[in-house]
Amino acid sequence: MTLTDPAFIRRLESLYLLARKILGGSLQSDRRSTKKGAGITFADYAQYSLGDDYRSIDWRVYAKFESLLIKLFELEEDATIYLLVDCSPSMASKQHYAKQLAAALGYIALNTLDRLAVYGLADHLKPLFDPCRGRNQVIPFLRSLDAAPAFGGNTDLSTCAREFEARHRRKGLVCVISDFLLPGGFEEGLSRLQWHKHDVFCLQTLDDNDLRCEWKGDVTLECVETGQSERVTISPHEARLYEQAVAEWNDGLKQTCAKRGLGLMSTTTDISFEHVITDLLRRGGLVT
Amino acid sequence: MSFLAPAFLWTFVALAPLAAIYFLKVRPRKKPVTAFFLWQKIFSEKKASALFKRLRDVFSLLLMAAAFAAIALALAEPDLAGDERKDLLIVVDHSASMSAKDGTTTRLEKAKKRARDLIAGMNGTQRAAVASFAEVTRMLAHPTRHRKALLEAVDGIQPTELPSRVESLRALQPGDEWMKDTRVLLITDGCLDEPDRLPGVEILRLDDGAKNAGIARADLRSVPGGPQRLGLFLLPVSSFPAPVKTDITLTHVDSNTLVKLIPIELKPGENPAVTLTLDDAPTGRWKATLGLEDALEADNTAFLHVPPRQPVPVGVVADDPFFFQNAVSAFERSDQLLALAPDAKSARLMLSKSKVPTDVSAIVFHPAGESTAWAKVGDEIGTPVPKVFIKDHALLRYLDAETMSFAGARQITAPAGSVVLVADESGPPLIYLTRIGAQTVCVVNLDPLAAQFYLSAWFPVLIHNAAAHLTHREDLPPATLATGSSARVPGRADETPYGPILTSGFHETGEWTLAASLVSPEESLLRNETLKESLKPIASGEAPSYWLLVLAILVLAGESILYHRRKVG
Repeated sequence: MTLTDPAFIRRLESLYLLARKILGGSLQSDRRSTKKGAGITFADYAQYSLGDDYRSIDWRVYAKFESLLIKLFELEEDATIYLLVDCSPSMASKQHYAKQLAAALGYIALNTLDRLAVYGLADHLKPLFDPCRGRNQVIPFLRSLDAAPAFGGNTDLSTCAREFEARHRRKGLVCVISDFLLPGGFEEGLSRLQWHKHDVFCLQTLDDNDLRCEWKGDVTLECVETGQSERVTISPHEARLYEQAVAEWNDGLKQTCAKRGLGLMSTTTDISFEHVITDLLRRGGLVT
Repeated sequence: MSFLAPAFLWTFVALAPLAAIYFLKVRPRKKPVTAFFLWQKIFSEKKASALFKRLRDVFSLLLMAAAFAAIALALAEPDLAGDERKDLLIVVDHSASMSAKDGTTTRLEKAKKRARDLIAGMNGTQRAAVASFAEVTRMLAHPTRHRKALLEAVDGIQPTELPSRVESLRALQPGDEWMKDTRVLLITDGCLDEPDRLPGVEILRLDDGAKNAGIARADLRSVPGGPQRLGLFLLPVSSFPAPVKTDITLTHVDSNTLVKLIPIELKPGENPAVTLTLDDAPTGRWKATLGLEDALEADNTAFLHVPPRQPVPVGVVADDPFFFQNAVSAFERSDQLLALAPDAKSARLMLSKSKVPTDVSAIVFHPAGESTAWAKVGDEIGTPVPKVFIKDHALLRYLDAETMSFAGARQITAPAGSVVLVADESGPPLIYLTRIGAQTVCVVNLDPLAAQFYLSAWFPVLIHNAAAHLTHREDLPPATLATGSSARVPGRADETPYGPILTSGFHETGEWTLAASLVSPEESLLRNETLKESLKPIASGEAPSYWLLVLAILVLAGESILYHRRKVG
């Protein structure tokens, strides 16, 4: 099923309706923000201080308590969503699934009138969909995502983050969709993505072959990204060591995200993408 | 060591292609992985075992070669025992002594295990048969190569309370020409009745330190001196190395009364007989039990039966009945065989002179007049010279007829069909038996007065023998029969013996009770040092080929576990 298939789009529409319930809002942008500013939805009171807009002083409160308080409103702004989709050869088995996740997130973003930009990640950054907004951009977005090829060698998140930093200084929500099994590590790349106060969310997609080693005996291991190979004998002991190493690697990702305040969600290809997106929305993953 | 199938040693040639296969470069399957850097990390930590990795193929080849060599040797069937590999006839002794326990295992179980080992040691070309041996020899499995059938036959051998009888082994005809390619193996403890008369069998002995004491002979019977007097005879034997003290309890089973407790010290081997007279002892079923815990329980109890006193009512028809009546009274006082009948109607046997009574068996002396029991009574024979025709006849037992005086004997002719036991040289019968309808008449052709027969020692003997024979009581069974034996039931005209009796205890045969016990010194002593184990080599237990195959399987399994060669799952 391609990403422009009507059936698939219907599934995205259902997701969007669900997202509306969760996100709410209908003015400048449909996305709700956690920031306070000039909106129409009352959020809180704050003590007046010099420089505040005196138009927002609540005179009724002043008349009653002789205290200057200003009304705060939820800031309603058009956010920018940056989707960074891992398109390296290591994602071959998970590529379609990653694209489905990206399509769902992009669909919701465009329908909530947010700006959306999509990039492919590998050994360098590759624009897949230029920044734009509006519901009329849904089909072009899905087409470009559908047509995005796998490219490059080893995924280098640092290089890609550096390139992304150079292109976009306007802060927004950066959602990285990758398996995060990166030989060069992920810490530097994630930290760079945070430099311009972007909200970074990591969506780790793995499949069973990444997590477990079911084959034993004499094999030639071949790296899908670099083509490097090594002849080894895998006994249950080695298989267990591998599974342990992957678990430790994923624990490292979890700790890094927790330390840096990044959102993280790990999923495997056997879980439906709707379920993942719904879960993500409910956990507030898209609220900036 | 020799090989039964050395041609299979050529299979060692196949080791060369095996080695060639091992040194061929095997290209393992390619497996694309996404986290190659993680695998590199894992294997970089295992560099220390690189030497083993290099030699791995050589070790694997050596193991495979060892497994292959074991299989090749197994095919060649190495024979370590030097056995001639003739067909086997395995005879397992299951007589009473084989039930002796040494610890928790009986000798029979050990014998069966030995038989199973022999069957396991057979090669593919050998045949074997299985037989059991005690008082008779039974074929349980005929010659076959089918091991399961042979093992089932061995498993089916049950313990018995029977003594062994070497004579029965002759039924197998060991040593005959047609059995020259068959080895007859007797698995036994050596407790045989006639070990020196064993036919050509090889002995596989079972030795243990079992200690036993038992009653090897027993008897209980009426003795003169009183109407209720019984004499007891017991012969205990012991295989304990030192004297042991114990008691023999004598119980009257019918009334469940403990009659006597006899303390006894049993010395090793055969002991002096225990004899005892019991006054006022009832007839019926008795039991003598040796109160000792030993290896064999079956011989600790002797079952004894004293038949109730039922004298035969005897009538006397003679003009001088005094001597006849006294003879009958004498037997009434001693063994209660005879008693004077109150009247002629109740008599079951008649003692008569000159006349033949009707409807009842009789002993008739001095034939005279006309009768169907003889013909043509003529003159007296001058000097009769008796000649015995049937010496072993029950009627002539303990009787020296040739020295008897037959004075007054007449020239008579015995009717057709008569059995003449003694006759005069000139022909006339002197003692004969004849049948008249249902009655049997014993005619004694002499004048008791003229021959002074009443005063002769042969008079009571002849009366007793003739009375016992005519009433079918000449062979009273003993107080206890040996297990495995048969006995004629007294009082029955049918001469077919009852038995063989296979178990000890009391056996009811209708009108008579028979007691049977394991009374055999050979079985009770449990030891016979004279019988020697056969020295001919014989294969026993699993063959070397079997263990070589087991070794091969273990090596192959080890190789597979250690190296997982060429298996990618």
